[in-house]
Amino acid sequence: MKANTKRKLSSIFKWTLTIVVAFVILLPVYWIFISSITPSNELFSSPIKYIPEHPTLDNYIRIFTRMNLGEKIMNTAIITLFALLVSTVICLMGAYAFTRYRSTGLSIAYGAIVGSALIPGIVTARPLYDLFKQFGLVDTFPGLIILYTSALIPFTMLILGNFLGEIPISLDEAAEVDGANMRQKLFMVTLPLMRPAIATILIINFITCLNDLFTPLFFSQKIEVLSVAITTIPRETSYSMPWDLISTVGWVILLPIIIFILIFEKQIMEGIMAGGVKQ
Amino acid sequence: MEKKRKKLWVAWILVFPVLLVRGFTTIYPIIMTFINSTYDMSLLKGSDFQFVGFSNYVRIFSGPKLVTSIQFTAIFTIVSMAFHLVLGIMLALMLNMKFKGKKFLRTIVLIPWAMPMVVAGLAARWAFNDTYGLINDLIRRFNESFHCDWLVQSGTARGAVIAVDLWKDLPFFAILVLAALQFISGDIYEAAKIDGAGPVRAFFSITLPNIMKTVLSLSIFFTMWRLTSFDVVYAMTSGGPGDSTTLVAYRIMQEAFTNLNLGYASAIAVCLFLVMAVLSTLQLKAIQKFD
Repeated sequence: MKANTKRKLSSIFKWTLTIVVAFVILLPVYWIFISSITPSNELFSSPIKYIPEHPTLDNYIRIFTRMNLGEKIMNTAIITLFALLVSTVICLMGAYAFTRYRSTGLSIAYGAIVGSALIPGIVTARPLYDLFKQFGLVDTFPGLIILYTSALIPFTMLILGNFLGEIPISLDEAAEVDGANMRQKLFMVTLPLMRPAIATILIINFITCLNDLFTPLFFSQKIEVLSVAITTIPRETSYSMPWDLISTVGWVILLPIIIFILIFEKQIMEGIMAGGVKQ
Repeated sequence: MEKKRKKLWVAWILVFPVLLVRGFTTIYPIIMTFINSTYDMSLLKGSDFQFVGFSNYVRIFSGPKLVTSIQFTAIFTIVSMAFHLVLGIMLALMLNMKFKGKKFLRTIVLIPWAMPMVVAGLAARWAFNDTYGLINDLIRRFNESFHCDWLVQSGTARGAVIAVDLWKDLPFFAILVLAALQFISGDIYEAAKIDGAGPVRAFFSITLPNIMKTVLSLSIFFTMWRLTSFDVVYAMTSGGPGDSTTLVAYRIMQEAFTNLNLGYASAIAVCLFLVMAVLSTLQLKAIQKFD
């Protein structure tokens, strides 16, 4: 009886804490959502109605027709897709070399690549901008894709390097004995084993790309991605900021992210922790 | 031997693209930043740059705007890190609890981590609004006559910026601490329980020593990220009111891209970089001492 009461109390305690955390995290997200479906004239009123009386998709229609949000989604998609593809391929090549070959030079190169994550963007931004300008890369898709790819490299290299390091070389050698050539070894032995690591890295990098504000803000004016688009919404009313449209664009960005989290919670958790433990 | 050397050649070819991209985008520009910091490169004055030695550096400490920035960056980093350590470890312990809500809790803490800071910052700009904001609306449910325009006064604006930074990044810190918690075997706790240690005692003599090393090395990264924070202020306060929430990173970008004082901006960037290098070395030393 006593043990039972104790267990009940402990369960109540755990759920209370969970509800507090859930409230702090979810309420702002929910508030952004209801703001996006509340008619503008009701939005700028106090107190806040947490259950909208006249829900409407008006704001969504407005951002797609007047703000041309479709184009911005396309820009984001193109840059993200290519950055994910290029970073994964070149990091796989690099990780393969770093784990299958040994030399002092290679160790230094690996350390430099992973360690360069600590060099902040603000220190490199201006000279990089001038360099990109010389090459005509500012405000172009290739330029942005190079920058996004570069930003993804250190973490991707760390995770893929760790994972590849754990796949025994003896598997490679066994395949070699069986007469497999380089291409067969790569595509039939190593890559299939890498699948979970690649999936994790793609999911996390996708979120990183959507999060990046710094790069597109300073390296492009004409090509607008979602994270920049949300800051350049013109004021249509006399209120200090167009919260009706900002909340709507905000939710357009949040929806895919939340869906992703709901589907891939486990992989994301494991990916983050894998990066954390082994730094 | 001949064959091995040939193979190493293959390795460098495989590594080449990654090195090229990273070198092009980090090593070259960082060298240029160091060089630029010794020139008077004010694009508004023309493109005839003068070598001025260290005078850009001298200007750093004579400009009142930058002193405010340095001050706030220090406050921001220290206060935010203190809360990260205390609340982050508490949240990590919660994430490690065994109960039916585990998956739910682990799912929702990912939301702030995955949410772009610019979205959180813009939402916060409105949430802290006096009349229509979420924060005051919640407070008014308990105290109807409450009024406070958070982002208009410098003290409350600074507090609000730190609060948003914590909301966004604390869960991430907690997840990383959780990784270390999961390595502690349950047997130790069982043994401690038999020996009569309560949960508080168990936390201080088992949990904390076991996660300390991870927590310290995470602190290096999280401190560095605080020192170079840009998005939160850009989205939430634009550095205001006045210059009270202008973090150093935000100031550098303003000098480099708005005021076009390239030499001056580079000098601040170099100083920031050196401070980061010194701080992370000190923290690394602390970790080694811990072993």
